[in-house]
Amino acid sequence: MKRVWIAIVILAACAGICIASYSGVSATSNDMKDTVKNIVTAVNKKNTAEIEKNKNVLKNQWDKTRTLYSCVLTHSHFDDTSQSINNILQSDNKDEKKLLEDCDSVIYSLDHLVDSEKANLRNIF
Amino acid sequence: MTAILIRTIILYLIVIAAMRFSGKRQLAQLQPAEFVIAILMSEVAALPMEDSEVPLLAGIIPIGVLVSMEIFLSALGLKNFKIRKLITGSPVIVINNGKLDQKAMKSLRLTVSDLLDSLRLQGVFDINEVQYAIVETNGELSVLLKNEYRPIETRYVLKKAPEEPVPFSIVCDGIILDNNLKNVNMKESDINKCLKRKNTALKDVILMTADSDGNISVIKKEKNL
Repeated sequence: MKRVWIAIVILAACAGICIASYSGVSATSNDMKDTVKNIVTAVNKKNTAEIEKNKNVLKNQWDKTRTLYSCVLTHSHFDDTSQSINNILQSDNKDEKKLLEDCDSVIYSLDHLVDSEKANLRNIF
Repeated sequence: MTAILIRTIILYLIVIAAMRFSGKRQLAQLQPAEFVIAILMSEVAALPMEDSEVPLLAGIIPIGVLVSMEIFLSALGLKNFKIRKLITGSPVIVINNGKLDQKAMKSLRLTVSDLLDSLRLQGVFDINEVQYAIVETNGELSVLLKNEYRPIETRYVLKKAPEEPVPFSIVCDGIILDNNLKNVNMKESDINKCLKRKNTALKDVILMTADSDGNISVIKKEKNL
């Protein structure tokens, strides 16, 4: 009976890790998506100060979440997202077209990350 | 590469812990469900070990789930006969009272050559010597020979054979095994006295056994090894 209880604890821990990792990835990527959308708005308004401010916010958010992402995501997904975010952070604020493309790419990457972690029929089967 | 080294050590420890947690039954006699678990576990552990793209958690979580499910199924099987039968199946008699049961063999997709192979592995070279042959749930063949081919057992020769006391290991690699001392009614001081009589230090003993009748045997470590 002791083993059954330990098995329940292990199963609960596994389920907990899965749920927590999904919630973590979902919440942080939504936050980062919001920040990237703010950058897009600032680019459209040609507000350089706002772009720079949101880039710093994005950098902080990414620094905080990269460990979680590398632990729970396939590293190729993680690398793609990391590359896209770095493109935004290093891009020239004056090259609006390139910056908007990078923003789209990050939003797509983050959406894809969250989508790949969802326990829906498509991912299960 | 250092990451792979560390990953391998972590996964090795987790797989060992998982196998130990699954119980000794896992290694001694693999039932169909346990066989599946053992294969899956090795596959799942190998993935993050050889591919650094896969996060370590992707190996650890499935191992945890597999072991837990195995424990649940075993526990359910213990409580409920029908579930046990569903998981492990039932033994099938393929030679019944000296007669080959071809229907049972067909249902098991067991050929005569397979059966003869298994019989030979049991030391039986003539199928006519077999009274009963049963394919167990773990796939092994149990054989009962006809009376005239069975080896003579002591109980048929002697009315009551004298009971031999079982020897227990009381020192192994220079370490006293306290649990076994109780079985032979001995204390640590008795071991020390015995070793003193034999002019041997405890650390020089590779194996020391004793039985309840007080028979003691000591094997010393070879010094030039």
